Amino acid sequence: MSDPVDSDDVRWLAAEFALGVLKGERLREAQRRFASESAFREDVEIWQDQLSPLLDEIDPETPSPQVWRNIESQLFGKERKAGGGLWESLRFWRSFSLVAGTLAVASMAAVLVLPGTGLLPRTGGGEPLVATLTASGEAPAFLARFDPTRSRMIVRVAAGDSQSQARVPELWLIPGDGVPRSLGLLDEAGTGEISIRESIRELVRDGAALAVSLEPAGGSPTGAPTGPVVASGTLQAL
Amino acid sequence: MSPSDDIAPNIEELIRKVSLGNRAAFQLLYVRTSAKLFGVCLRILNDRSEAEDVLQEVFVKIWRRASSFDAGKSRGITWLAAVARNQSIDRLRTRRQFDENVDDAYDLEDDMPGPEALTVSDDEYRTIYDCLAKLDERHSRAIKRTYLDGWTYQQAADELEVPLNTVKTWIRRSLGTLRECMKR
Repeated sequence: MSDPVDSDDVRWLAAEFALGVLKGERLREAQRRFASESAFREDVEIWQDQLSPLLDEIDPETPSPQVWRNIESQLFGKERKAGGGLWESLRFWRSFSLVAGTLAVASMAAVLVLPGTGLLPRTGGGEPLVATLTASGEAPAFLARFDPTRSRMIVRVAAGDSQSQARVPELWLIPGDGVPRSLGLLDEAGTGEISIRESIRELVRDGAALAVSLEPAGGSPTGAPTGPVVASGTLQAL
Repeated sequence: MSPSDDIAPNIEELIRKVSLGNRAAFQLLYVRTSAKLFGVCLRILNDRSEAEDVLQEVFVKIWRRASSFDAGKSRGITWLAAVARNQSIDRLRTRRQFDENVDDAYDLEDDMPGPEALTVSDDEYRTIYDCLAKLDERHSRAIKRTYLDGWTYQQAADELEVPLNTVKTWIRRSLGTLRECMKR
């Protein structure tokens, strides 16, 4: 087990380690004790807790998007879910919608629900899902959370970037079949709480993608994304 | 508070889920806290690319060690910030290894008692700001700058233009005063 923290010197060591003032051999000693002695660790943690309000003086700084990519690839390597397929499929749908635009109904509610042939029924529909939506490899732009009990998708802006004023952000669900379904418009700030209609409720599941495109006022006139896709991400069980 | 705060569980809950290997929670945790933690690293290291390097190490550590977080003992952001601070200070001290030999002798000759093991809970201690206000201005500055900027005793002595032993005495005495104050 751990040695009791009993000497004054060790108590100072804990305080000074929490303050961050140590170096050299004393720092290494503190690190060793912190890793192996629970009493020392507790002492340090109490100091850290008490000093931590000082951190309010530090302004948040946004790190480069590369940091998150590095973390993901260091921890999860190649198994990272690629956004490429999704982006490709959105590109496809945007070009398709130019052709089919005149045939499409300009109503966000009137989307064709295709049988989800590509869907793997992974998990039941009862769990909360979250997605972080990013522009291709950039810092997260939106956060989405699906509340299964109320069947609502709640979307918030993750970064402070303001959206284009002339267009409105529209939220899309892209399930395994790759066909985007509009979930509805977000407000100008990029937030929203959208009720998921029963007809597509089953498609909202772990692994389905969300995307935000910028559309003319009133939403996409074609029923598929027509404007630039500013962010996308995958729903995951939380 | 960021606008996204109502969408994700609180930080403690996210850390708990991270400890179970939940990657969605990990990404949310990154979204919620990376800017603050990057600010902490940057303040100490004062070099963007080095701070980004360290931030990566910090989140790798958080992923691997989330299970050592005890929500009953400290707040989530405190735990995360401690990981960020410790990692940054570790890097800073490695970078400055050249002066390592100068200042490790603890030659304080005072009879101050050591800080007692603290057992106060969150709602009992007063804010550190109230307590810092009770200190001599230079002493509270020494505490703040060592904590926020990662100063060593030697740097504090240089910056505050006082002898090394004086600054050590200031800081230890201030820590003792803070401990008493926050205990009340």
